[in-house]
Amino acid sequence: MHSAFERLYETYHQDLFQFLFYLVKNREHAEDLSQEVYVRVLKNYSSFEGKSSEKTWLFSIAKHVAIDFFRKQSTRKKRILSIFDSQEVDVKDENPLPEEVLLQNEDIQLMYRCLDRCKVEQKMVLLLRFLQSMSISETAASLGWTESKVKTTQHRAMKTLRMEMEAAKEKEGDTA
Amino acid sequence: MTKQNWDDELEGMMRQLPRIEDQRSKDVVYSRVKQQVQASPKHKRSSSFIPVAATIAAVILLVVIASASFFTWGGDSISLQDSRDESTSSSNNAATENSTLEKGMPESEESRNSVTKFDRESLSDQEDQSFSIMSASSEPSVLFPDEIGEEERAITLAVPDQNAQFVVPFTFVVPREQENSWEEGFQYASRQLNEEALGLSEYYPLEGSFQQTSTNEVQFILDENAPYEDGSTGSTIFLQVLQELFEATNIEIVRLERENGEPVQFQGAVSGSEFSPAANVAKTYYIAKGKDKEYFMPEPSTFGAPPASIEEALERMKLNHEQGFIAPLPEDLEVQLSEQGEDQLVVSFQKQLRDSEKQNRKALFSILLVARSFGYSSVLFEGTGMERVDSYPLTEPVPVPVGENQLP
Repeated sequence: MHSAFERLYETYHQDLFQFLFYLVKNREHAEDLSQEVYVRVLKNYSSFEGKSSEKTWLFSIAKHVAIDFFRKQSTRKKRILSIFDSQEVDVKDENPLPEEVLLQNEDIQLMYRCLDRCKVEQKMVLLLRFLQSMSISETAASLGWTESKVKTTQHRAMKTLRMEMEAAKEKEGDTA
Repeated sequence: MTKQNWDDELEGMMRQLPRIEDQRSKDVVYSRVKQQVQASPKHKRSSSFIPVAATIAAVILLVVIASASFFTWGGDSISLQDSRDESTSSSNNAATENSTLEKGMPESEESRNSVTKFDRESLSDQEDQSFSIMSASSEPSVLFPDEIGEEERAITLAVPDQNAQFVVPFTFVVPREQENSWEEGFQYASRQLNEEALGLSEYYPLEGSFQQTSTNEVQFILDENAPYEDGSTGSTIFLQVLQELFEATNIEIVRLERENGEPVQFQGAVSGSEFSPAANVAKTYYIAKGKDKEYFMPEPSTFGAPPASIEEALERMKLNHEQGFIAPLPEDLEVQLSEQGEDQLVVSFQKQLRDSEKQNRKALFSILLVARSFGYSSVLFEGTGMERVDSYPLTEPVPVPVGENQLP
């Protein structure tokens, strides 16, 4: 078990952590979730058939772990459920901006905040495509979707993000 | 800034998001993972046994009931009540006969396969199940007008169930910049559709091709062996598909032709070869429930006469449909209806909605869909006890949706 873990950790851990962190925007949760990914991976490692790449397999498990996390959160906090259902719900970001983001320019900080206005599946596509630099087909394999669904979801995610950023900028302009 | 520039800039900014690293050492992570792996078997056994056992029990129940009073819908089961009214209209009888034929089969190959499929997926793919249950698409959805961008258009495709009893409409948002003509948009939406994944009948691409001949007329040229004239069911379903496809468009005539010029004969079409999609057909809406998805479904004309008034439609929608579809409105719903201006419906709730947020949303969405079918363009909800539905504050009128069951 240790050798499999070591190899996966060395190869993918920081990418995996980054993906989970940007999804849940909380370091502790991202730590717990990345551990859970390894638990599931190691339990099922023998069943990995190599039909997809190891990386997309790992991220497909991360997707399920994250979805389960949001589901559990939703039972404790109904507000979270609405993230699945509507990007328009007024979601307040309860987590402070991480230091790494605070060092970035205002546009990047704004985008970081507005990412939460996207549906979870839209956010996943954006993170895999642009943060993880996955191709359309790798993203499709990781999410278990068709390539056309990835393209359409990406299109809608970009649109949502653009509109939310424009609206936030307008709002900031009004209050300035 | 143009949309393309925006997208490029956003993409660039996404790539600039700072790398956020796990600051724990590999050994720390490993020791925690190891603890979890070692601790989990005992716990896991007890937690996983119950859902598996429940699934097996559900499958057994499904098999038993399937032979008596259920018909399968792509591996999903929709209950049928056996206590049908003897005085059902003749149009209802045709549908009932078809259902009875299915019910009479002790356990068809198809239903066996469906159950096996359900069984296999439930037992071995719990992860996917949990995802699909929680994904946005598990609830019935609608598409509002402001969700369609200037460079997009909505296209509704209707898909028949596997027993060709009814059709479920799905609405796609199609980018205009990729697909300029209506035909291309239709083809684009068809390619997005995965009927099998929805638990419905494989129906697209259609066996023939559309050509828009004028602003309000299209021609559909049937392929040589297109099955759409096969019996009354094939013909009825095809015309329902055309109705849903063109109802919200400005197309008034669909000419049905064959490439070789031979005449076509569609029961229900004017002179057998010309179909006129009706605009604003009054509808009642129910919820068709699949294994892990729910859909808004207009009651097919073959199941009953359209409602004479919106009051009648809402009244009917408080009770589950005799064909097994679920009522979207609470049984004790009391509303008063009035109109404001030419096309705004005012729905005053005499009692606040007290169900879950999801149930309440389904209720309001279904009222909006019915209002659309009666020609209203917006609905003002009063006294719901809710502050908003989706992004719409209920202090303001809510626009009626462009379509139901948005995909993808």
